Amino acid sequence: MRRSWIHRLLGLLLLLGSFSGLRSQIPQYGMELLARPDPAKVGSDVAFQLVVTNLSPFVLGTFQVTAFVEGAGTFQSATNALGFATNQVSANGLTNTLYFEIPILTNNQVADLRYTFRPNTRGSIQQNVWIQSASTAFFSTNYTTRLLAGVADLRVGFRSVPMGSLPGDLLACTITVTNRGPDPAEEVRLTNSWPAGFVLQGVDPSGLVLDRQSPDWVVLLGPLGVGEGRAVQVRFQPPAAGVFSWTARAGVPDFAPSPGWIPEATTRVTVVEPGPGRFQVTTLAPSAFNRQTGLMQQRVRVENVGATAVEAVRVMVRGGANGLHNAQGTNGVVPFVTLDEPLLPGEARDLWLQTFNPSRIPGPDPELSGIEVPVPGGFQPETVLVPIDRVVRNPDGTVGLEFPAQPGRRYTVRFGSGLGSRGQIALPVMTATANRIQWLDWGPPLTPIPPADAASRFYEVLEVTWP
Amino acid sequence: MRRSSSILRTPAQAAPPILAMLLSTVPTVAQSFWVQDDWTRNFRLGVQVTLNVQAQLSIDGVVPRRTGDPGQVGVPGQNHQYDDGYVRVDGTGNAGGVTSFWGYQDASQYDPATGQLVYRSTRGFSARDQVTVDSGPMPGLELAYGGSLHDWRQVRLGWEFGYSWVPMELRDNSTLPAQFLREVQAFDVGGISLPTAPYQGGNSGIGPVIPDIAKARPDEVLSGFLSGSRGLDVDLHAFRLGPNLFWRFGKQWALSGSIGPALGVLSGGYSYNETFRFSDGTMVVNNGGQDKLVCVFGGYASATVLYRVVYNADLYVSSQFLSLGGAQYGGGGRRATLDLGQTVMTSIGISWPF
Repeated sequence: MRRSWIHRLLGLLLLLGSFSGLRSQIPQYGMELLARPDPAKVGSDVAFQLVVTNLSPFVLGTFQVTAFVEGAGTFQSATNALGFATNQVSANGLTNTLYFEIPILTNNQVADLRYTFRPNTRGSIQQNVWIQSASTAFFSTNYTTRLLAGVADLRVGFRSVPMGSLPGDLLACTITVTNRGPDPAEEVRLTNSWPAGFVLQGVDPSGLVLDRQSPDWVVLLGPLGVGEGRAVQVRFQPPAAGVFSWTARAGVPDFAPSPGWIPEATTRVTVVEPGPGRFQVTTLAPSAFNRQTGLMQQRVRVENVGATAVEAVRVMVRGGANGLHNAQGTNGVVPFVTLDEPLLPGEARDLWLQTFNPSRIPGPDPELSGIEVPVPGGFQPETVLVPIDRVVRNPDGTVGLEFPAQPGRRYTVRFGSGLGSRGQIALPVMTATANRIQWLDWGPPLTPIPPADAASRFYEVLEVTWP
Repeated sequence: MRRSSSILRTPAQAAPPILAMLLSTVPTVAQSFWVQDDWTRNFRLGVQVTLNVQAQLSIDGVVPRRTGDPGQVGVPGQNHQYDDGYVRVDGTGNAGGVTSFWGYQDASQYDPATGQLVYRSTRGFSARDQVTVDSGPMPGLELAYGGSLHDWRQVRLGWEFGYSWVPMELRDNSTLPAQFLREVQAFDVGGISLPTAPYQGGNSGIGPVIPDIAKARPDEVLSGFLSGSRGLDVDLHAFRLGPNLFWRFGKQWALSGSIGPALGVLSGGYSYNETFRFSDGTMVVNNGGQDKLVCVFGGYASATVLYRVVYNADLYVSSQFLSLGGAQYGGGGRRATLDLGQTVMTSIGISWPF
């Protein structure tokens, strides 16, 4: 009788328990998969941490976690503090099946499962994680970990951004890319975003692969070792006036920079319409052959006939049969020189124009015109100092410098009013045709005023190594 | 009739002191074998040392210089090459009668009295010298191939074809007193400021230009010294063919002798690498030479001792007397005679019977 009562009580408890068990038979889990580093890198270990929490209000027995890891690589290790872990590699080596088993996982207990891989191909690691307990409930989810070929912090910079430009000028600008590591970059790509309408004239050095996809265009710079840098000169033509933003961004396929590193730079190119100044430009004498330079030389005068002072005057030279040897720039197809010295109303300056004529006889006078422009500048070449071994002050006030050179290499002279001054670059850059160069400072347009009119003038000769 | 004999002594035991060192390198595993003299052919390869080659080198009288053409005077558009510079036609074709393609070596070439750049070109020299140069030992290479015609057990009669290659250098390094003849030309500089010497202008047409017409000045004769070296750089390719008598006189020892005609082919020739050292302190390098192919004929006699090291290889030492005709080189005051009449060649190497 007593036994029957106990049995009935147990039966009731089981019945109640079964009712409450029916409500909570579905196990609940919290799961998180962490990868360090993320993205991972080919050839380096990536550590995965799988955190599974029993969110069910009851104890789970024979708790099993299976991770199918897809991606070529080598399994390194696995740990399971609450149980054991095993790994099985597929025959083709592309899938690792990690199996973790925990005998009992109590309510809110956390299972910290860790495993490490060393991936050996680019792409990604795909993971399917399955959870199973004795109650045969399943839970699965997918994870993707991106695989990088390397990490490279690429520094991008602009140099020699032109100033005082007009629409239609043929301009050039240098972009430098330096790999700050930590990995050597394989195929560095420089992607440029610039205003619509800018005309890309070319990229130097020639031979670089150029992908012109409007509005962006890409230069393939090739591999860059750690600490190595590369520069490209971009030649372009702005069609209109304005302030234009230009962004250059460096990248490597399957590479990423360090967190927080921005591998890009932005510059602004200012292009203005000519000023209202009016000028009269006249030739002072016929063109004549100069035996000291081998060039035809002609003196011209530019006079400010407008009502306002101007900062700089550009003298456009049209109709010359042989081009302008001392041209400082080109607008469209018209070469020009610039007098970058303020010119008051009624004031005039004399300039020399040089042309190379293979016949060494004078040609027709060019058609000259003057336009008001901002003070030009921005050209910052990479240079090496060259010793000056002869300086001559000539009776006519000009100053001659002589220095050793290597034929084919390019040289320029930086001048200033003092030793400590930054100085200006005298344009154009000259290419050596002999083992010595004789350079003569006669004033405009090579330098703003003749050396005889300057209180002091210091010179240094530079070999231009870039661009 | 083929025959064989057996030995059980090691090569080192049987070798005389000359070969003992060489034989010591033979692996012990090959120290007992059968000597089989049933071969009908043999091939030899060895290093050779050639002695007793002489050359008579002489310079006698005026020796013209063939390099550096100073060009004509008074004619525009000419290329002028001098010891101390050049005035050439530039890329414009010397338009306007001037050129940028000029250069000079020393500031002393500018004559301020006339406003001219003066250039000199050595056209020849006069010296006298005769010397006999002995080659000393000259290393080379020997190849030989032979066959058997008749076999009398220990003695065989056969034939042998041989080739020897001997690079030869016989040079006279003496410094000689000499008289030099220099042609002198001058160019107006047209009032330009000369670049500092040494200056080498380019052909672009850009840069300082000078008139391109050379003006004659009196030739200069000055004394000095001729230093450097002159002589023969030739390769002797000697071919020989003759009967060969082979005699095996010991278990491992054999003696071979041959005699017959020989042909020598000489490639290369006379060359000089000299410096003219003028009494005014200047110098000019003078390099040149003349190569040709010369065939000379003669005869040879040789004797060879062979020692069987392993069952199919002999070490050999050979001495050869080679007498070939002389070869003449040079010209224009230079002369060289190569004497190959009493050449002695000694070689050592390996012979393979098969």
